[in-house]
Amino acid sequence: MSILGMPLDAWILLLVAVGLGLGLEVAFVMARKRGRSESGGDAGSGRRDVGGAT
Amino acid sequence: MTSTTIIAVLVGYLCVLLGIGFWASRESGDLKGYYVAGKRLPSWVIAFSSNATGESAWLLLGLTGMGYAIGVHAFWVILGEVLGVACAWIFVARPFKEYTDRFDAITVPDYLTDRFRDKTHVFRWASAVIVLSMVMAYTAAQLTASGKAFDSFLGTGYTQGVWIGLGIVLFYTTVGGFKAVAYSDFVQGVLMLACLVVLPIAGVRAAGGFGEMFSTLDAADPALLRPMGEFGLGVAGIASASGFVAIGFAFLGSPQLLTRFMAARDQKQIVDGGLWAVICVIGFDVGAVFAGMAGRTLFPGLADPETVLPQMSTALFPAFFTGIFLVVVLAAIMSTVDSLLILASSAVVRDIVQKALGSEWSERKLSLVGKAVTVLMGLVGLAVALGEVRAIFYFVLFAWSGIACAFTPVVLCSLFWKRTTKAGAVAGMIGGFVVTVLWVVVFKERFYDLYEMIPGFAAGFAATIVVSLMTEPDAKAIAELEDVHRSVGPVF
Repeated sequence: MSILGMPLDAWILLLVAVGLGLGLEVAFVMARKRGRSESGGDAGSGRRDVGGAT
Repeated sequence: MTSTTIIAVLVGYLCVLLGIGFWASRESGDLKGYYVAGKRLPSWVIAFSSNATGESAWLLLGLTGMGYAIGVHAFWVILGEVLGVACAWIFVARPFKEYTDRFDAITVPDYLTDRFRDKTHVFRWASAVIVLSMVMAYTAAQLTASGKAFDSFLGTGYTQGVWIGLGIVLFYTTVGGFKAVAYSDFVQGVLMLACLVVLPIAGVRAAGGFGEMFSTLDAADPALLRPMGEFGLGVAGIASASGFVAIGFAFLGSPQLLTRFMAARDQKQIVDGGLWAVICVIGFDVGAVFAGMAGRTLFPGLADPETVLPQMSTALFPAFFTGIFLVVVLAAIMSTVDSLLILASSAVVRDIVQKALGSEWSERKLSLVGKAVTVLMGLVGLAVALGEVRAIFYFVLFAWSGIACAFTPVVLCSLFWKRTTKAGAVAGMIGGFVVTVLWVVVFKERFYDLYEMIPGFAAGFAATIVVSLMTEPDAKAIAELEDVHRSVGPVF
């Protein structure tokens, strides 16, 4: 079976190749936006001196 | 007339790069300004510049050539790269940014030294050796591509093409530092994306549409439309597909890419930039593979598949756009070379001169030395490129995996496994690098040409984990890691 002349398994591979990473990223952005609106700001950007060797 | 148009486009582009160099020069007076742009970059700049740096001329000439030579089997590269970029931005970027901000680190060895409370500078020395050797190979390969691009588009001659490419990069890199590198990479990334959207559309259209293109490919070689290519679902096919996927692993921890996360203004830029980065790499890779497949339909029987992009641009577009395509190839080359030169310079000046040797020179003087080292590294790459004119992408993939296997397993363990120890990290760094080199030199041909990234990564992880389990971790380092993850918060 093929769509537009390209076999179905090739389309599935292309869809997975693009969709897996993109889906993860979209889920991450949505989770961060939800977290930001719940906490009223962005967390985890503070600087502290912790006695590193540098 | 044609040549005049192409030269006019090229001169316009080079003027933009020189302008960026001048504009950014105010911030290159100290080490933090020169190597991480004062940690003030916005999301869109780090997104496009990290992809432009990661892809190089390999994307435009190599991946289009793969689409031409192996068809849909190259989709495995897309899977690896899109997943690698997404995972880097989702999982690695924020804890890494949090750590490096806490330590005020500006290089990856800075980070490793602080993360493992190292007083011996072993990470700095090991990193310098690995980075300098790999950057030399990588830069030489890119300069070779520059010489070939100038020669094939404008007939400048190979040697002159190498000199012109290096001269431009050295100017804006030494004058403007990392800020110039990042912003010029942004411009170059946008150009590359535009090219890789337009080229396959024009190519597929010229081939008569998708149906016509696929049926022509099927008639030429049915393996071009099979996901496992000519190998089928056997050991050779799986080795080939997994090698292609592994190309994307490097996005998770190569220092030239991690530098972008360090240089971000704050973590919000990372959250906002991730989606841009993923969309950008999808456009890059899908565009390159489809352009290559369309090129196979239009120009069957090319002696060198990696010339398909110049062939298509010359045949399908007027001279002005041919100039744009030359600019885009140069953009891909320059956006990688500039970042590698800055990386090598930071390894010498920040990690060795300032930290390991304890120099008390002023920031201004160190910055000047950094610029001198940038020029020196460029000249070394030039000497190699002029002496060894062949096999661009062999060197690119080798250097890409050498740097990635030395750093990525160690960086990932250091960020996500609290049991990681200093001894384990050193073993992982050396083990990953040595196995990568050995695999290429001794074993690769005997094992289905399996890409060195896979054994290199396996060795890096194995050495880090085994040696860490045999040694005691630092209690303060464990507490620090837990605090970093608390501070960053959950991923989803």
